[in-house]
Amino acid sequence: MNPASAWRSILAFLAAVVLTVVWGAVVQTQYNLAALTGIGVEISASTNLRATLTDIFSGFSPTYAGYIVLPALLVAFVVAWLVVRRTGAPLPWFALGGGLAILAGIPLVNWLSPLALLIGANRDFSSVVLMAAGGAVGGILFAWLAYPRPRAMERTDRPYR
Amino acid sequence: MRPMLARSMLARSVLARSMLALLIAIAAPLCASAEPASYQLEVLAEPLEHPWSIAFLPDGGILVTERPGRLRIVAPDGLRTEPVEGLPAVFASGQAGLFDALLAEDFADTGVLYLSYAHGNDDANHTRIVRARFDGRQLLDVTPIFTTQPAKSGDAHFGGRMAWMPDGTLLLGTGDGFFFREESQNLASHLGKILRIRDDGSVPEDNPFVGTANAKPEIYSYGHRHVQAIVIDREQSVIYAHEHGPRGGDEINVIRPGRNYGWPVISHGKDYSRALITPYTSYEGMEQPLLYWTPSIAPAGMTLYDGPLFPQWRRSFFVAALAEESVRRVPLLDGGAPGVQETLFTELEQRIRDIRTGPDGALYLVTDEPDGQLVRVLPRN
Repeated sequence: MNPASAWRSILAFLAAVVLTVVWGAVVQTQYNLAALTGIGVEISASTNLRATLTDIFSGFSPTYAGYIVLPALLVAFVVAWLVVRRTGAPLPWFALGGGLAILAGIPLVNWLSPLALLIGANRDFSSVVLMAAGGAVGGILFAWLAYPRPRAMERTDRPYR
Repeated sequence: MRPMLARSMLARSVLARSMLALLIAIAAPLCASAEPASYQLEVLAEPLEHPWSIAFLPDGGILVTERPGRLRIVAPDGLRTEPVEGLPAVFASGQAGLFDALLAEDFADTGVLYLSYAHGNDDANHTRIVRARFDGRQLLDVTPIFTTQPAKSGDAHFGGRMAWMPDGTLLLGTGDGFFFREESQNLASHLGKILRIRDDGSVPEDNPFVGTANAKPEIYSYGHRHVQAIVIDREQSVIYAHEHGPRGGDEINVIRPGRNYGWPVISHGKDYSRALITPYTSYEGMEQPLLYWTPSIAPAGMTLYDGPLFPQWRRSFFVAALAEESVRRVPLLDGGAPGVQETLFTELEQRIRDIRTGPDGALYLVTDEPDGQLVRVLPRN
């Protein structure tokens, strides 16, 4: 791997982490707020937006990134990279790896944690699935950014006219 | 048994004394706990496996519950080897186990006491109260008088503290079961409530939700997360309770019948992931705490001290703290507002589960460790 492609991979990885974290933050905020509206609490659209932005930009994101997304995607993307070297087709493999990494990473960290549950929204397993979808989207973003696209290569191979 | 623990072990040399004086001079304006120690700590019994509560027997002995399901006797001459026999089967796992021991007010005549504990298994469990007769060695006539409903799964947030009201009714604090926090707002559930029953488990007719459709008639107050202590100030006729918040938002509340204390709709704490549990710290119809702790200290037992041995500490709450491994002294000012807090007994370096005022006016505490201790706090001289 040359330095330019290494840097591209690192930036692609960070972009995938950020996207997965923000996706997960939004999902878990909506689950927490839905649980409150389910018991009759009024939550306006502006309160919902403010709570979502708070979770993205303050407390939740560093926890989710540090304990789950970053290590899970790192392991998954290394495995996916090894697979893609043999098979090609990076996009489905990184999507699959990202999704499975979060799907397994959340329960694993909850199990390892001395707390009964690290992420309250994960009381409902469907929230884990939706947060894992963020991992899949992060994988797609990584593959899209880190691997040269065929169309772009075709253009560069075209003779000058 | 360990010898007396003296607080100022540093002051053994001139140099150490000088450094200590300098530190105190620097820290005194900043920290209310920097006064010279006015107390000494005496270990009365060890090892106790995760002791949970303390009850004083009229003969001078002390009953200590151990969370795995044992009731121990600390006689004036030390810890008895054999636990009390005849205890009910306890679901012991995580936070579940044997909780509180509360003597009947006529215990000296009847030997009747009440135990609270986790009943069931990991899939379906409850907080239960049994009444029993204690003959000095074993429990007899063990009778369940109250069991929370519905059953819940998991081994967290049972509550379990009990206290007598001046009218002879019994208060029990419960928890939300951790995974079921919305149940604290559900009047058809005992989870996340303070409950009031008679000493036979029946419902007092003047409970606030008697006659309310789909409400458990035992409910006295609701919207609690995990009640950890209930203290009745008989002088002022005020009920105080404290409870664990999540990450931050531990609270002391003044408990009034029928009131909603807000969990999980309002909280000064956050989820363990640092996410918002709720966007609200106040909401119409919900009570604000007397005080809250953020970050959490994880309050456990509590006593309102009014004994003769520490006149400077009278009318103060002493709040055992698990996470902070301390006891917080919270003076109650005239009018009931909390004063400047003091952090005490950190030299024990142990999680503190319960603290009570003994009949002799000393403070007694137990430490929440696998080899926990029963410790007495006495004036230094």
